[in-house]
Amino acid sequence: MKSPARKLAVVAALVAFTTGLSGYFMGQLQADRSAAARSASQILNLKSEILPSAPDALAAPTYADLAQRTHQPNHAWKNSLADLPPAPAFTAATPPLSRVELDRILATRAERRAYNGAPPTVPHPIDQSASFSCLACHGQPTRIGGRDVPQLSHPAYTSCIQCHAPQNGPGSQLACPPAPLATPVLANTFAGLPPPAGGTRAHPSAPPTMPHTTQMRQNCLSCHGPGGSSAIKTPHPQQSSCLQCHATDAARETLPPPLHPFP
Amino acid sequence: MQRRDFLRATALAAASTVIARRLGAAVPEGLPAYATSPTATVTADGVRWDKAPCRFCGTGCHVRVGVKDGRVVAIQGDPQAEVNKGLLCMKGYHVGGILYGKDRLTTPQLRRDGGLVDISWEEAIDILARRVMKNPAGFAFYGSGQWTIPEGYAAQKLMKAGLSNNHIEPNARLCMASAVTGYLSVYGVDEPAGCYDDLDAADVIILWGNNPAEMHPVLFSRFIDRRTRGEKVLLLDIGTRRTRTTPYADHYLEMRPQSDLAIANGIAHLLLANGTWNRAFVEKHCNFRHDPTGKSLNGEPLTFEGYRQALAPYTPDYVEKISGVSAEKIRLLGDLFGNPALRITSLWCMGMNQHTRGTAINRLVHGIHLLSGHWGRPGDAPTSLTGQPSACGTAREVGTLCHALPGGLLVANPEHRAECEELWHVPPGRIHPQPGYHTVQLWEKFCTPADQGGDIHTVFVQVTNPGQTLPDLARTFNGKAALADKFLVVSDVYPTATTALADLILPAALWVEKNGVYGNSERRTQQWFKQVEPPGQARPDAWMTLALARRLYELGHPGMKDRDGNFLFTFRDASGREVPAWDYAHYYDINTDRALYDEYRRFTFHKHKHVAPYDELVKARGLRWPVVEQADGTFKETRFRFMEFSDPFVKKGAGIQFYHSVTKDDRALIWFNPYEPATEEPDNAYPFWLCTGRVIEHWHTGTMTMRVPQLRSSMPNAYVELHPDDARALGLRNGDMATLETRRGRLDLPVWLDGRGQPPRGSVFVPFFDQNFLINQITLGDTCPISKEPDYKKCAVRILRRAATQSS
Repeated sequence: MKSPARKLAVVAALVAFTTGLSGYFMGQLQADRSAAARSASQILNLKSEILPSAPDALAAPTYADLAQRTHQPNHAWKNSLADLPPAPAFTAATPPLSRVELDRILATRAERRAYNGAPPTVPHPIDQSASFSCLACHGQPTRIGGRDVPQLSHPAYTSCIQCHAPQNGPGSQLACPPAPLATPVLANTFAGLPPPAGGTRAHPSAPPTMPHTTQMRQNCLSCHGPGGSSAIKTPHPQQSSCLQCHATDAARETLPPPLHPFP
Repeated sequence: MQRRDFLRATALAAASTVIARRLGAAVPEGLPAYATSPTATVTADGVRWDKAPCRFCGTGCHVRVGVKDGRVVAIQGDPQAEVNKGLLCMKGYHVGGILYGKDRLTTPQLRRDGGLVDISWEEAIDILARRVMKNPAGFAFYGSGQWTIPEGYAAQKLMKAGLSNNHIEPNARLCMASAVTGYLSVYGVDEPAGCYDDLDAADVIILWGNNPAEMHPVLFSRFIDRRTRGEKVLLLDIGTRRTRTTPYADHYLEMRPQSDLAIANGIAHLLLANGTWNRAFVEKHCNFRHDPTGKSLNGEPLTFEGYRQALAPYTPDYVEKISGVSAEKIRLLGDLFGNPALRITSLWCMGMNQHTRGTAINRLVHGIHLLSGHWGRPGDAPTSLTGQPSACGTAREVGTLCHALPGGLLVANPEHRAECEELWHVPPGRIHPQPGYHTVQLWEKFCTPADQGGDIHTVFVQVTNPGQTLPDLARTFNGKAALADKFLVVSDVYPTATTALADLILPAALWVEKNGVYGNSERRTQQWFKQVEPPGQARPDAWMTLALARRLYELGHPGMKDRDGNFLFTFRDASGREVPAWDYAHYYDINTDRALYDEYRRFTFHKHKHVAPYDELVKARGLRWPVVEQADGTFKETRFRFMEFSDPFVKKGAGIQFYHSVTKDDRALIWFNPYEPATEEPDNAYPFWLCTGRVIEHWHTGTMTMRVPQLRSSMPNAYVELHPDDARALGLRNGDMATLETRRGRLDLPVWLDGRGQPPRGSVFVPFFDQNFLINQITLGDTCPISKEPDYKKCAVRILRRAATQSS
């Protein structure tokens, strides 16, 4: 539907934008350097003196307004997530986990699921109005602030908060949530299915079978690769065709086998 | 089918379950043999898995329920279900948790001297029966679109065939009555012609006041995920606020509330003005209608010229003036509908239905599809969605409404009454010829003293929570508290805003704690078996109805007998012996659900709504009616109605045939209805629009979902959304308490800015799930004059900063 002229305009705008942006940061960098020698009061004065007021610049919110504002990206915002270092290449076998580490991983896993197989809940605040923003971080395995960020295990589905419920209430980091109200918590005695024990091996050197179904788990490396949340990490990440060797377990399929054609 | 044949069929069915058992499918311990399910299996970890439709919305996803040691322990999206193909939403994944809230109701309770005391089931049923006996005409039954089909059918039969009383209504009156009157006045018969397969084929999807990302998430993913696979799906969001759906839309058309009427007329205007209407389709398949009184279901004939003249004022500029949607965007809509190469599906739910002109806007959206010929091919469909799992199955198809009889038949039609009396085997004249009270009326009568015309003295509520969902609660519900001679009986699973005023509380079995059959938004009938025991003395709603009927029979109510003097609900086992299903000890001796369903199924043939035989449903993940027997004895479902390539009832060679046409000439009706302002619009005293609705985490009044920790943590309380500029002008910040005041009352709510939805200036939104913030205390009770459905989406409100002295 896009006309070539429009495409051209977009490209031109992008070029202009990138040039402008790098110029801005270069300028900022230099200003910061020269400013380093001055006192805080001088900087304040300097800004009001020498910075021309740009008529189309966004007004900075006042402190009084901060609580009301979501600091959502404006046109000058640059998404730098793609520049984050990817998770380290994963070529060597991981050393076995200590009991303490293993317990911690299993406890975290249990805490974030109502039962084995439930979609994990979200342990951090989210952008309430843009579901697909999840993919900015969870679209690839990465590390942010020292934490592993698991990649989506089912690439076809992108309406993430359809299934994954944030557990810290409806707030986001930047917009204050409605104050939690002192309403009685309604207790629940639901006890979810615990996680499975490991798969089975035909003999000591055979590849283990999978102790779970593959539904919603098309990307094994989401959990078992670098940045994954599972306690079990593949010792041979260079081999990525997992189902070639690791068989699913028919005894774990929740659907009955097809009916025998001869009764 | 004669009565004897019917009994024989029941016996045969019982025998076939014995055969099924021999095949060795797993039957849970303690459950009857007929709960043998070909869809069940046991995994290596000792968990038994079987199918069930999800308990929540009208999408009708199937889940696999994992049961171990008599308790639900896990849920899986059913990969074999066509509706959801293995996917669920956060409510569906956590549906198992709804059974295990700590405060489940487990014993019948009677209000005595202001407190609730435990009583026995025998006493409870006796008290209710004696209330009914005192004055059967003043008894009302209020159920919901969460009634299973057998439950709704039993209630329907008790009321209309037994008590000669038409005061039976479902809460579905509050959510899809306008969709029903829309289908009836356009096609002469209720329910969508298309189905969810349209979502796989459509090039353009138009959402009319609809937020499927939160309300029907699995259907939303069904078309959004097509984009992931590289397909092009153009999404248009016509709405009154930005929602979670909006960021996915290619075009967001923000309209002034109520102006959808003008937008639809604007599209029709452009189709005529541009000559892009489908002349061949219209000349072959359509007639024109209008409704000069504004109150008529079937209106009056209109000429094409009259139709054109009526639409003449709706130019893009005029529509822009009314709706606030730019003339350019109106032209875009006109161009899309004018392009025969595209496949266009319109979706709507409460935005169009909860509308004081709900019938009119439903007609208009059908009208632009018919006028443009975007009708009759997969992907070209006007389709209403429902909010409850069996709003279609039980409310609409079983006809648990004050004016309806099962299978789309009508109380007011003498032939229909006679037909039902025949099928029910009751004496001629048993069915009362006058329709009963519709929902809002029924509750007003209940809340009015008897000496002032309040002639409803007792209401039996099952599977719904009117104390939270009725509009303008002071008028429709809370008034009961002051009236000593009114008696409220509530069957539910948890304490609710309704049980708070109940005189008698009955503990109900929930979802897989009983057998059931539901009917979803796409005409799909879905069956499941009981998989766990209900807690304490909780029992199925269908049993309560049978027990009440039996007690009335014992007390001598003449209506509880059929023509032969037999009890109205007589069931027999395989050997022909009568089974006293009203006695709970014997309720599961036979599959009572199946017996009721088989009896009901006979009513569905009249209007070609043939629901599938029970045994077919047992094998399937639901089947879309009409389900018609083939020459080889198999049964085939129908994906697209009135279309020859799919619907077996269409005459060969007709292509498209509207065989229940209002005008009896196989044509659908294209209606003109004018834009009219809402019955209450913002003014100087009440300057904001108030809209109410749902959030993804909570289903309806949150009685189930607020007890699931994962859902409650995600959305713990209600809030008011408003535009940041309005908030600033009012001196309100995020988290502050605001006071909302309408002509009906006031309510304090925390403010949420830039949160999940973003209303435009002059408009606010409040979800209705939270019992601690009953927004329906201040909503409007005005209804569509044809469908009698209230408008929960529009009324005038003023917003104040809550006075500091009031803050807690």
